[in-house]
Amino acid sequence: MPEPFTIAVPDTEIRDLKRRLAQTRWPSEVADSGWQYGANLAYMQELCEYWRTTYDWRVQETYLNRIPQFTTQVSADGVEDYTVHYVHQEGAGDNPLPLVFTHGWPGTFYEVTKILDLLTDPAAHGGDPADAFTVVAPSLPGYGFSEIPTSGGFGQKRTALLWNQLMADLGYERYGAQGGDWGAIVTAQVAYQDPDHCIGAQINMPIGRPPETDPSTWTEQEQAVAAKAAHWQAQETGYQAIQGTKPQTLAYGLTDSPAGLAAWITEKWRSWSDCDGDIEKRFTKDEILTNISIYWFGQTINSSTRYYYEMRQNQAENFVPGRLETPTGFSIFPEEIITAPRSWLEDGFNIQQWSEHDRGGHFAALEEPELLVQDIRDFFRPLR
Amino acid sequence: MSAATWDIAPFRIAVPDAELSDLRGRLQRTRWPSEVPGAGWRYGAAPDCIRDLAAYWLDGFDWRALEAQLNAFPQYRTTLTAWNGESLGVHFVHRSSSRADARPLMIQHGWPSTIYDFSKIIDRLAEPEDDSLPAFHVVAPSLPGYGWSDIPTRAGIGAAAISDMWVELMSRLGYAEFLYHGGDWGAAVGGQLALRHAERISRIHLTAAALAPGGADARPQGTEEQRFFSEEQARYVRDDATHRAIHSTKFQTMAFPLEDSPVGLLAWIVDMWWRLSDIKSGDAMPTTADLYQRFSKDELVATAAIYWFTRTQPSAMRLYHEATRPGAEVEAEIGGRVRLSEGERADVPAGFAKLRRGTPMPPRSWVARAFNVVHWSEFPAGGHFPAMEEPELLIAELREFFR
Repeated sequence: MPEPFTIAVPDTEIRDLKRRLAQTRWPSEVADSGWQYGANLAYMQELCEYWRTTYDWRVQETYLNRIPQFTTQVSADGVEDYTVHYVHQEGAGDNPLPLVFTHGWPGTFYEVTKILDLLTDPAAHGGDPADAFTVVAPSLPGYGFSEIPTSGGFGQKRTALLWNQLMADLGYERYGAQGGDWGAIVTAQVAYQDPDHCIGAQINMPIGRPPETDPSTWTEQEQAVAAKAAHWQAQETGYQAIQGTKPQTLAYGLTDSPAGLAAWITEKWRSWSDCDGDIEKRFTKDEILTNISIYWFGQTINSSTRYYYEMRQNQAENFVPGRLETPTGFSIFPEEIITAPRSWLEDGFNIQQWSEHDRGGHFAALEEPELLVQDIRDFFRPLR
Repeated sequence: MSAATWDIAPFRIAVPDAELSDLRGRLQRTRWPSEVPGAGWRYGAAPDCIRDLAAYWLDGFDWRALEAQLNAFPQYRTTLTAWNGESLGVHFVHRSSSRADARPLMIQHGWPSTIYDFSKIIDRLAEPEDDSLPAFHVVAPSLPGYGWSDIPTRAGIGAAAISDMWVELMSRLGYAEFLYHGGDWGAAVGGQLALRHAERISRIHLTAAALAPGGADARPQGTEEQRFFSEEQARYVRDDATHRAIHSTKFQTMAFPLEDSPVGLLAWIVDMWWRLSDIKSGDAMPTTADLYQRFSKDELVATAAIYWFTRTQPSAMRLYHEATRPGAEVEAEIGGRVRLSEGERADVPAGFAKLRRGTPMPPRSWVARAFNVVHWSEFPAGGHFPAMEEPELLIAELREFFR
């Protein structure tokens, strides 16, 4: 049975965090290197000082606790019993469509906060009341306030099976799915594993394989995507290599050092968002630090990165194994980290929506909530 | 050249008491990550090992004893100017032999190692047990950005730049020509010495192939070479070399947790000692007990402690970035290359020891297309840290090759 959930971090943990921040031993850096080699020292010092002296977790906790949250034990076929934490907000009107929203890494359920009211009560935000959704936004296994898996192999397919069961347990026989990053992969699996109940998948990170044809025959756009992917692979995937092979080794420092955790996450929020190199063009310090604080207080950085290990060790299980026939929509944001032209996705998906935007990056729900919500409404309207 | 720039100052390691007590506080306050019960080393450094070593670091390990052990070696610092104009103080052991026929030998550590790796072999190489064995004046520098050498504040100090600095160092010590041994980054510096300073090096001994043949010569030829690259090398890159991916790109992000958390640093380093040393028996994943059979807790903690007190893990990682910058970029700056042109070969007579475990060594036929291989041995035991793991084998090997 779902139990209402309230976040309540003990005072001792907040004091411990501030003491650690005050005692940070800062690394040396290459002079004038900016963010070229990773997190910038001056910015991290500024952010951590703000975290210690100005940021108010209690204010953020109160804000988060105004969002209805629950935990419940889910027993899905083929998955161990598992206690999941999730946001659950009923939609307005007579017939809101249930929607399961899945966040990614290094995000949390916090990613849903800016789209929640837009989705559940469109009429209150200048939208059509017929577009209302009831939103279920679970914390991924080992993320946020979901249980930390104590056995190996807890990957994306098992997550999807849990979400299917969670939606059934909540009494939803027809529902949609949405997500980016890990949420993109889980969303596709949610639809693939439960075709009788999941009516559509709306995805904001397109993952598609280039065709095995001679690249010189590709269109200019396809070649540009391939070049971007090659650069990404060479320069930006070190975190994946580590998280996919030895997350536990990484976890000691990230669990012991708040500055270390903040650097590991902040660098990604900056480089993956559409911010022209200035992270605060997109996110306030409070937003950056609330997401990081959820990792810190929940002590979930280890289990969150282990999700990469589980994928790397068992890609055959965790990627959708065949074509997804369920109607699928894609939202494309220009600063997305992994992208694919539509032509590379046609074989794998039944594409009913392809929506390209001129601004926004990897964290669409936080960066461009209104654009993403419009896509979600448009995509599901004919499927309702 | 002014006398001042030639100053070679004696050096002793002396970590302030305040640093020792700061470390104690951090170790006592360690906030431990979750774990998957029974997973051992599957997800990385095993919690049972890191917790045990952290407890030993706190209550068993004696930094002052290690300091005294290292200070028993004559150490110095001198200031060298790198190709980019940056002046860097460099730290080195200079253990002169009492023997009149001794020859200069530079030995160079890599990551995650320090001069401490060589503590079992320095005296033995300088003062052999009997007069029939060759003797050496041993010079063991700390790489720039490592140990007690200065941390470069500017980019551009890679293996080629370091090789230029080391010939200058040997000149200051009065050694016109010298012998060289190195593994890991020490091998990379050795490859550059062979390529750029052949006139200064009489013989070179490496435990890694630091130069690659160019053009068609680089392609694996024959089944043994093909098998090596498709199996051993591919497996190493996939499973055990992933630290290179982060060290060479976003090392500065990695620097924050490793500089602030002693257990974070300990795990990052011990993980590699577990991964690359010769502790594997059969196909089973090595355990913490296997690791402890190979190294004492003092040995495992010592390296982490040196990186901690010298605050050099961030700068140590940078060397990976310097080494993986596009070759053309480095070549344009200082002529540094790791891939030769087709048909080209480093002419310095070179000896190689293929270690039983650790970073994989390509077959001799492939290495011989880049180096003038005059000696090739295969160690029956030992991994990536031969001076620590199998000092007797390494001492015998160096004596034989340099005889």
